[in-house]
Amino acid sequence: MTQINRLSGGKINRDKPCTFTFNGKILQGYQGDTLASALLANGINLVGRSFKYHRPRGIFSAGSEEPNALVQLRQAASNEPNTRATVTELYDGLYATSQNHRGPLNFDLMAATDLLSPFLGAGFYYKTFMWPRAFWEKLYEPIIRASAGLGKLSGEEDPDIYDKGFLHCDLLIIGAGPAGLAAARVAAHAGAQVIIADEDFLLGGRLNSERHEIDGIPADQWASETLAQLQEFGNVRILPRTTVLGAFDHGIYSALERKTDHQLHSNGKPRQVLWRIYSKRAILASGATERSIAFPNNDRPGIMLAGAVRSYAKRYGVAAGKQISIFTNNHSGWQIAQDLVDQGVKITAIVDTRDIPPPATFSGVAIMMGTQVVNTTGRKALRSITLSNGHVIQTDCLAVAGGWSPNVHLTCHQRGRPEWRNDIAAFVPSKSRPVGMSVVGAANGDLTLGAAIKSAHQTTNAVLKSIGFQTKRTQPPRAIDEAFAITPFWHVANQKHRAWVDLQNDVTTKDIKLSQTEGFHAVEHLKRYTTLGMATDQGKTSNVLGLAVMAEMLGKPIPETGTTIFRPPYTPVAMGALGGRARDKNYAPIRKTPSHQWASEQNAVFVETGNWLRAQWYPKLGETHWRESVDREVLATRKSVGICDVTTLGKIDIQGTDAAAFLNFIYANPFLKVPVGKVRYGLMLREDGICYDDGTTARLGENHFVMTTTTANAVLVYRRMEFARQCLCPEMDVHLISTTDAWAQYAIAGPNSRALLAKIVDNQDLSNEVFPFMACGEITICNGIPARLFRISFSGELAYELAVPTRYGDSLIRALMAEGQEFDATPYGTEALSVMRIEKGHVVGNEINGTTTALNLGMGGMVSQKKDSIGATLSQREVLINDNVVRLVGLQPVDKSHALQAGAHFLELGSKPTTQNDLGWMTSVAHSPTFGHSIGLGFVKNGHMRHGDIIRAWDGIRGRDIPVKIVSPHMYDPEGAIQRG
Amino acid sequence: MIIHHPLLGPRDASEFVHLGDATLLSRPDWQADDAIAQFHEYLYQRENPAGEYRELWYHEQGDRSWLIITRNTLTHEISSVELARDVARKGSAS
Amino acid sequence: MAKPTLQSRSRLAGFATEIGGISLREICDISIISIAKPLHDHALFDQNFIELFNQAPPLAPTSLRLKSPNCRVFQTQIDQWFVIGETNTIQDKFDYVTDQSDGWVALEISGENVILALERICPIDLHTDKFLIGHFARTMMEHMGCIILRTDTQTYQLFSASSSAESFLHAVETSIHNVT
Repeated sequence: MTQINRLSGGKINRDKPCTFTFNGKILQGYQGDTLASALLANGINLVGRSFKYHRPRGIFSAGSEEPNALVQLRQAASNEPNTRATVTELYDGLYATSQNHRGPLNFDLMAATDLLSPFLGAGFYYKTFMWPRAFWEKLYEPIIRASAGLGKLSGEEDPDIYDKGFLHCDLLIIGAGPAGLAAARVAAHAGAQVIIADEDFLLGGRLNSERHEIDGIPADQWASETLAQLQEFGNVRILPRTTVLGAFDHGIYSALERKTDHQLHSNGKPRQVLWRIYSKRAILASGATERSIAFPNNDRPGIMLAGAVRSYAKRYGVAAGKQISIFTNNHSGWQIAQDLVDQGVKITAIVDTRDIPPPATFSGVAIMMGTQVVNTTGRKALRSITLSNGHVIQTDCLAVAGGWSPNVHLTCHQRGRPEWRNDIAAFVPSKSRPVGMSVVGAANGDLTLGAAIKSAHQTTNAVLKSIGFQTKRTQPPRAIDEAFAITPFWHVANQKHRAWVDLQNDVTTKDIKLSQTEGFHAVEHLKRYTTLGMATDQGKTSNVLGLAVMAEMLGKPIPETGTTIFRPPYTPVAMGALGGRARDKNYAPIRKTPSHQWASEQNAVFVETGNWLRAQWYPKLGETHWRESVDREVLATRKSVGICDVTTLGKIDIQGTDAAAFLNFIYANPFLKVPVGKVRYGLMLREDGICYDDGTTARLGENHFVMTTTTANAVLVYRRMEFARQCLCPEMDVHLISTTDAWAQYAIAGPNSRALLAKIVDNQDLSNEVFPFMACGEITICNGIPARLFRISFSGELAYELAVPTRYGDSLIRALMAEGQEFDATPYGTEALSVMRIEKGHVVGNEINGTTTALNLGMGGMVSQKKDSIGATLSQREVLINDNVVRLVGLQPVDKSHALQAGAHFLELGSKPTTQNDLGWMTSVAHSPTFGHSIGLGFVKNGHMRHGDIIRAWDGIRGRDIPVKIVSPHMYDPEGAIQRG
Repeated sequence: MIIHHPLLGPRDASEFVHLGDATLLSRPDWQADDAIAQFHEYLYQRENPAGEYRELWYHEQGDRSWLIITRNTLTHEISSVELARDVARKGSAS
Repeated sequence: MAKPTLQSRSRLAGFATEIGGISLREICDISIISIAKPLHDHALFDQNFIELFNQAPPLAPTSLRLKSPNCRVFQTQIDQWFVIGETNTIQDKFDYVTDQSDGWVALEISGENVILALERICPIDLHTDKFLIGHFARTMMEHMGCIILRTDTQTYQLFSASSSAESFLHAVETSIHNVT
């Protein structure tokens, strides 16, 4: 069987045959074919089974509106389900299978579902599967999933790569049919930056499928010549295979370009690119989609849209059948008949619902006016049609011309509502459409060629003028208007047989009747009750028909019944395309500290902190559990000296004559009188009085401070400070700039930190007298390298933080470790850091958690009421300062062998775990190698008055309930003698 | 959305961070007798207009300007964009 | 006792490559300072600026290119400019100076199809008649804040945070790979 239905002609390349596989059969087509046209050429029209009833289905359309011909394309991980054969460009080696059937396609074991159709009407989900509830997950859902549905995913990771991009233009033209090309011509000559995008791989739209003349030459030739001219313009970008998916605010459009879908291999290049297009103006020239008529058994393979039958004949050189008949309610059916005859396709009959004189005659063709198709036969392929006048006509392809629906989709993306035009029986765009968008051609209801081109030409001229372009006074391309008249005819009334409205979702006129009977009249209800217009085609061929049938049943005109509007995307998009490059390790940027490479060499285990990677601990050979490493790091630091990379802390450079006053406003505690050369701990509140962030700020000069923030809040604190600077303190002379990435900073902590530091600083006296606790200074180290030294301690040890320009960070950690060998200097990670801060009672995000105040944290006295600062006023609200508020405490298990658990709630001994009895909760816990048991921090009601009391730490989720003792949060060196030493 | 930055021209809204009502510029006097009540109003009470709304946006991936944008909440039409600092200064002058 | 010597290390170890006619390299040892205009001393700042650079502070998107001192200046905030290049001689002329050299990684990308690569990550309109030689913009690419500066007909410099230098390089390199 070799392309038995192939005709001569068509825009296919007969020099480039393509071999492809469908359901295991090896077949031939040509470059320029779609999978659908190649299948039809090979006499194959049974391509799938319907969603609900598993009815045999064939190719219905020749475009992206296709409801039936969905296939699984490619194999294994590359398999893509629900691919529309009608827009799948044929390539050598293409592999496809049909979907939604069990067993072979021509003998689907699930086809018995069709016999159950009386029970599977609209709303059957809601009625049938309501109860018992336990049956839902175990019984109903698996059955529904197995029997209904579309294609199957491979379950493997998508091996393809995707990209995104940004394009800018003065004018975006959506659609490269006659109207789009006419618009592009005008805009190109005017010098505007133009993008013209079309979902098809062959541009020209209907001009490639129909027989017309433009400017005295065949229309398809005019299209290719116009494209060739446009390509010469540097200001025109032509994007074939590019579907404009959505219209967003302010002239932004999204578009998907299929880069390699028409090739067997993508060779490591992105398969698809998702564009964000910024346009000053847009012209929608998206054409129109033909619709069907609902008549009994109208879903058989071989029953197709009439325009599609013509398209297969003229564009692809394929006869969709050997004996084609036409069923129409308008003049385009006759035009199509003429085109088919011209193309050498045999027509058997033309059936027109209108009782008018025949618009044309064809020899050997039966013509029936005022007649309807009332039934069809042929299970896997159409065999005959029965007419309302009793005639039975043998035919293997029925071309249905039910009228045209302008592709108004993108005009609705900002809730624009199309309006009804009776003369063409269709919805057309109204004035309510996205700002900057004009609609031309068939999309605007200009269904005839001459009118479409003329409106595109004129509209484009006006649009260009509105954005300042001079247009030349040119004539629009000349084309005549074909005859067009329609008498709406939607469905053949029949009680016996089902007449399909939505082929993809198996919605029939009976379902719409049921929906109407049960009170679901509104379009939105109709859709949800019957599933009309859902799934991959989004009702492109069925929405208007469904609405019209509903209107008839309600006895109301269509505009009063409702309007369907559309959301993005215009056609389905692979999730991979929306994700673009953002997958796996490229999901978000990775920030690394200057010691990263060195830490990797030490086998450090890294943890994500925001986008940062930080060393969590440094396992040594022989250590099998993270606790071993962490305990060792803590003990070594407390005993001698430990080094921790603290580069990730946010650093903000603050300068200006009002810098001190500004900080005094930002921080809750006083900052005006911090001496130069000193560091002060600062607490930031939100305006509602809740703590926001904390850190240390060093005064390097009279007008120069350097602030540190927590790692997590660096960006947010900077943002808030800019807000305060520009919006609340606009008359202050203060300047901010982030220097987080400019400095590598290491904490050097432990009794030997001073001795280690002394080995690398240049001429800096580190004695307590000259450089005491909370001192800071700009110094040099290692013979002249600029550095900043801060004597601050998060661990509670004698400690320093040393910062050098980032470029020296790697070298500095290596130098510190080398020089520290004699002290057994130990690198420590964020876990040891956390253990030591819990031992010391320093708070972090666990405690500053967005619900706690300075008073809760034991720092109530720091919030100055003698100055204006953010949050100071509302921190004094009664609800935040009453006697019952929780206070930060330290906690220890009564039985030292118990491990504490964060998240546990506190109760009095013997009291029931109820909300009323809740005393507070555990925020942070750690095993303290220093004390030899588990310790914790937490909040307890009036906890500051209860040191020494025993309470319960109750953890209902993990089933733990242990007695704990309340202690001071400052468990390690409560007097601070060590850090001051 | 596109925001027409007064100094930089049209920029994609994704460069910006949205904060909310521009009345946040009118911070109450902390020394007023009813300061707590005033701050409460300032912080929590918002108009929610269906129509023109003045709101704060921050050009975080740009020049770090805080802007006051007048946006129609029904249509997203942006009718004016001002530097918040200029507005704040005018406020303090009046 | 002799002190250890610290080595300077560039973030991308001097990365350089050429893919399909587009070349990409790290600009190493770059010096960047930010200077801020005091709120109450506009005139003095402008005067100092003009003395040094022979013209008023440039306004975005236009940058200022100088031979002596050999540097480029552009506005990063309403009252803040970056000076890139020879900065050591001019630091003292301004009140509010912050060394930004180590905060950034700098890449130079050039070649005939450079815009095709950049449009995959850059939201700014790079049409050559709109984004002129000397123009710059501070924006975002692949979720990373960055500055793009056009230095020649087909040459652009890109600056982004030094901590995410590898991710930034990956983003730019991928763009080149994807279009060549």
